[in-house]
Amino acid sequence: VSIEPSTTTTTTTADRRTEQLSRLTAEKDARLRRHRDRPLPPWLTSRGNRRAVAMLPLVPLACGLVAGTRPDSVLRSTLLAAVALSSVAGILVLRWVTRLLDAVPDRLLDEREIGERDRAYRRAHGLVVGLIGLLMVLAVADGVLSKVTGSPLIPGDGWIAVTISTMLVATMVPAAVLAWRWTDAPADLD
Amino acid sequence: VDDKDSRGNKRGSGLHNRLPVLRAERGVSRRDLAQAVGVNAQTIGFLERGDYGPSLELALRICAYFQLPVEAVFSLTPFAPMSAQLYATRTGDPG
Repeated sequence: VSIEPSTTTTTTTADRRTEQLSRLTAEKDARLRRHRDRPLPPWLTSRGNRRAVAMLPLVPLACGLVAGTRPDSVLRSTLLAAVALSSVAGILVLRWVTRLLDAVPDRLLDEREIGERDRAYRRAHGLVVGLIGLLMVLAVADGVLSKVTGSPLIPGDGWIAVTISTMLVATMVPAAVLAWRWTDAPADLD
Repeated sequence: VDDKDSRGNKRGSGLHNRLPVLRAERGVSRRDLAQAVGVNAQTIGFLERGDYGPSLELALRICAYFQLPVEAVFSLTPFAPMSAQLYATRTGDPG
């Protein structure tokens, strides 16, 4: 007899928590849907401009590589700051252009969008593996150059800058692939 | 847009459909149809344009919405124009 009230209380608390959680999830989903339904500015409707936006990951990558080859200086710190800023700005712009396709949960996407996202991830995986491969070649070349000439291509802790840039770029690649492949929906959604 | 997928196949669907005709006939907007079958309105546009082939589940949901059999809505071969079909019926020509 003494167990029943306790069980009821526990159940009620659990129910309340579940209810609260579903309410929060619904609110979050509604916010995401509103964000995804916002119209894009006209300049982003052209394929050329979208593809230009898709090239944004090259900015932090280039900055990171240049920062890596510079000696520890104000220039390197500035370039590293540029890497961080361009990565954050880049991922925000790319996700805006691709309507958060690579960031929202599956329940907010339909089967076509899930397929598009998965194809983009497959391409992005290949690109990131290629990028890491290039980095590996660069590391080997740097080691050889360092032994032969005594002056490495990427001095001191420059590899930290290069690695961080690569990691940030890797996070941008799926959205960049989506932006590159983006196909316009028919305009007349009557 | 790259019109080939990762396997080098042409993007788009080999499946033909009568969605634009059915929608026009019944005065249903893309948004309404999309809402009824649980997809985004853009996806209906891609289906109509032949850029996307629906899953079996989506195709069946669309057919259920229009209350038509699958072969009346989707086909592996192009549908004859509605006018040609009507004319053939009136003149008794089965073709």
